[in-house]
Amino acid sequence: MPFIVSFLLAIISFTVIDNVILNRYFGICSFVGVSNKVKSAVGMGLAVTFVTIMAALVCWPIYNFILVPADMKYMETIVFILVIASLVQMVGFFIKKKSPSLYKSLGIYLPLITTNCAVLGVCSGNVGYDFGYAMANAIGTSLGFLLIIFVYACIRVRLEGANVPKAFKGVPIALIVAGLMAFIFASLNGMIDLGAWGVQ
Amino acid sequence: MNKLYIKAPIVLGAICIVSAGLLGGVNLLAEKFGPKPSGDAPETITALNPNASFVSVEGFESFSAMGSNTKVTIEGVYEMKEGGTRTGFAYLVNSGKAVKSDITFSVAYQGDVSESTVNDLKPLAINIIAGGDSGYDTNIGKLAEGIVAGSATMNDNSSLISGGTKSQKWLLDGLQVARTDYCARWNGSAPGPIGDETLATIKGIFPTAASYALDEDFTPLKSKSYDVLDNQVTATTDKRYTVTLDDGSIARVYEATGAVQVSAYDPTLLNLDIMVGFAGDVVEGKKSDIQPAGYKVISSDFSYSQWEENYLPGVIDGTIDIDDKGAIKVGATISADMIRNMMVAMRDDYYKVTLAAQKANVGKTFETMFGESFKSFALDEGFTAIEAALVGVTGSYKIDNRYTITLQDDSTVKVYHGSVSCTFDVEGEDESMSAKLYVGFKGAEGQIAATLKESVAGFPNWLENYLPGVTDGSISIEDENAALGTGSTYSSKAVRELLVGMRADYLAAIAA
Amino acid sequence: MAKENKSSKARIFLDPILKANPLFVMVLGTCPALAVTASIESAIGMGILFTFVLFFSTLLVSLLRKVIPDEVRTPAYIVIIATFVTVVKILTETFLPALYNTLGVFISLIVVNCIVLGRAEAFASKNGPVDTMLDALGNGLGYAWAIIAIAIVREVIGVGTITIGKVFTFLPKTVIPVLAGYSGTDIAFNIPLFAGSAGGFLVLGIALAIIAAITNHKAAKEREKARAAKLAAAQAAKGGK
Repeated sequence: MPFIVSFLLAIISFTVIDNVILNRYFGICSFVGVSNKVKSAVGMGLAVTFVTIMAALVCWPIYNFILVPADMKYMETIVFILVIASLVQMVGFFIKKKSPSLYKSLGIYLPLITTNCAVLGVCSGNVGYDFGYAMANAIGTSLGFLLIIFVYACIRVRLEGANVPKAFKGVPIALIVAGLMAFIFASLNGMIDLGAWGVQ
Repeated sequence: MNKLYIKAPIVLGAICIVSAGLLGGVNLLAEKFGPKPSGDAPETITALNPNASFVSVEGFESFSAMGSNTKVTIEGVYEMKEGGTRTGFAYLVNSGKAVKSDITFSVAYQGDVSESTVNDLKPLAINIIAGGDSGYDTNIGKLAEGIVAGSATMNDNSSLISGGTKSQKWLLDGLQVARTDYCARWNGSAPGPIGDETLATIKGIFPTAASYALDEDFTPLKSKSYDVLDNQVTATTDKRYTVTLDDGSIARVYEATGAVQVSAYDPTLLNLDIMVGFAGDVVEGKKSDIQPAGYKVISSDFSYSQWEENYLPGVIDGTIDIDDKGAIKVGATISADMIRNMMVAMRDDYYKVTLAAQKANVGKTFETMFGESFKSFALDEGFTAIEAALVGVTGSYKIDNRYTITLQDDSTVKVYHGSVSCTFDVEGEDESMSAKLYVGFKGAEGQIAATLKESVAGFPNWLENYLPGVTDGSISIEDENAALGTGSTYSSKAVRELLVGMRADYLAAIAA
Repeated sequence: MAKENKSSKARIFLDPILKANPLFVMVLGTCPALAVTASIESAIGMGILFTFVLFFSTLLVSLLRKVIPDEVRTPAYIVIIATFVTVVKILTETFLPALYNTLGVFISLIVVNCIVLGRAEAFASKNGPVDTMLDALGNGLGYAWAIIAIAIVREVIGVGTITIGKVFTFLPKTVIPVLAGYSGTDIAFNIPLFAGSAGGFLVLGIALAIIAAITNHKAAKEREKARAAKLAAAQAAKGGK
């Protein structure tokens, strides 16, 4: 199969079939705390997308061209998280300068991207795979995150009007809804089998 | 503010350096003290199954086994474990060692297997490390992939890809030897070296070889041939082994070495070390009837062994005569000529030593047959061998030699040396029998004086049920349907016809 | 004074276990709570590793709290936490490869576990080492029992059996049948939904709902009590007049 086809299939796989939130369990904290405003949810998703792709772009070469030859593979976690933290800081400065209103509406969620399991999860998951896989993983994961955040925000809007039992209000119902979504997405399991594509 | 710009980087830097140092230290400690699951397995083994760990099997010693096509050496065995439980074994295998274009590969087998299911087991993964017929080495990789995927079989030659089949066959040999070891090892036994390498090689020529001995009194033979520049090349047959086969008969295996320059542009000498086996009786005066029974190449520098593909098989199956200098095919004239000369020297030696042994044996045979009354013997030179097909059963007999034995009381006995072989059907199964006998006839009626079995293969019941009776006269040789005893009807009939043929000649001889 | 100290020390330790449980009450560290709770053994393993990281990183943060400048505290804490996470990773990979393979990337993800960073930031940076150690142990224990509880529900109801020895390979491998897996029978009352990905969400959601219900009930009771007291006081005042 030509590379571009495998690449696109891989992106679809990471977006929908091996979904970051529903299947791989990354990014739950930000997921349950997402606001009921679709716009800010999408904004958060886009910020995560940007940070993820940039982090993968930076972390993969650092791992393969610096850490591996120097026989310091164990420094992976520290280096990756520092890269991510710095990226988030830089993105924060950038947004603050360019669009203070967006910065304000993102509020605390921006620094929280650092602790979003999805970003570090993608970078760690790219270890041992080639660059094509790394990029497919980053793009697919972010798209998957965005997709689920968006869908859930829309559902949230509907939930506002629903008669949710008191105990379930807030996080519990978010998780139940996520569970139902996971159930539905689980039926897609195995549709695309990447096999050993991208293994270094 | 200023202080911060100094303090912050220092503190951060210090933390980073300390942490890097701490981690480096922990890493070193872990490498030192940690159990090393995949520590000693080379990458070529661990690549077979990334999810598993491989540990070299304790006390393993490299051993060799003969495959159908070449010698297989198992150089390493590793226990494969996943999550702490053993799932299989991995092997580092070399097929065709010391012969150029030998292949080295690793293979992992996993899962349950028993002697009855072993042929269904296919490898988990194969890793071709090196080797393969030059120019065709991708085919061996394709074959390996096919075997792992299940689209090709390792049990026979039906999946071979044309182009470089020799090394593909070697791959199959190696896979099979490893699989046999896996079956035994998985089920608890730890097979090791299969006897010694020489016996293994000899078994490749004579599968029924039971034991062998180096002939200490053998003087090396020299054979001459010419290289590409018409320089004389001398090859030496250094060793002769006397091999005892399962059925008691003797075969001889010669080991020869030679080196020859085959290319006018390349002065390197290509070495060859080969073992050739001869078996069977010789007939005096019929040296050229002797053919090699088989051969095994021990080591060879030849990349293109055309002498092996075009010449030797023809010699073995009899279509090519080693005395025929012109029978060597183009493209391998120099190397094939060297081998031809080696084999001629071996054959001549075999004829000499076997004839002498036959003659010596024969004397001993008569001593055994007649005991103390034996005085002397002489070969009847005028006797021509008799061959005939059997009548009552499918087969034939041959009478090779006739001897006149003089006993102590000066009476004479004529002893015939003959062989008979037949095939028959017992309860739907094909059975066969072949035997070599010495039978002595005396008196005017052609009474049987003594018999001696030289060798028997197949149904031997006639030895007990028929021969004693016909020897002492209680069973009449004329009677086709004499009480032959159950379980030996056909074979006894065959022996009877041989005896009748011998006796007919005896009666004619004493009448003359 | 001594009694105060003691009880406050005890409070530091006991609070995170129940009242201020990091998972069930503060709703932090949810990612591993869904990922590693499919089996009880891996939840126990994660609990131990998490407590280890939390304990040593917060201790170090506490010891260095006066040295690290405020502006760079976040990256500094991250490096410290990441260091101990890597230590744990190396040790686990070497000595307990089965646990390492099961937990996978989630060992690395302890570094972004909100609880660790949260405790470092909120407590360790402001308190002495002894208190910090107590707090770490309390939070570790609280998180551990929370994820083990979820794992018990998911494994017993979802798979039907309790497997020992698969992750902690030094234990003999045994499978304890509860709702299924009785040898020789086909009895299977387990609901596979709970073992799968959806199950994680559902169990945690229901658990949080239960906690919320209990909290709401308690709060309602408190309010009731307060109102009754207020009423009684008002009546008493009225009556007194």
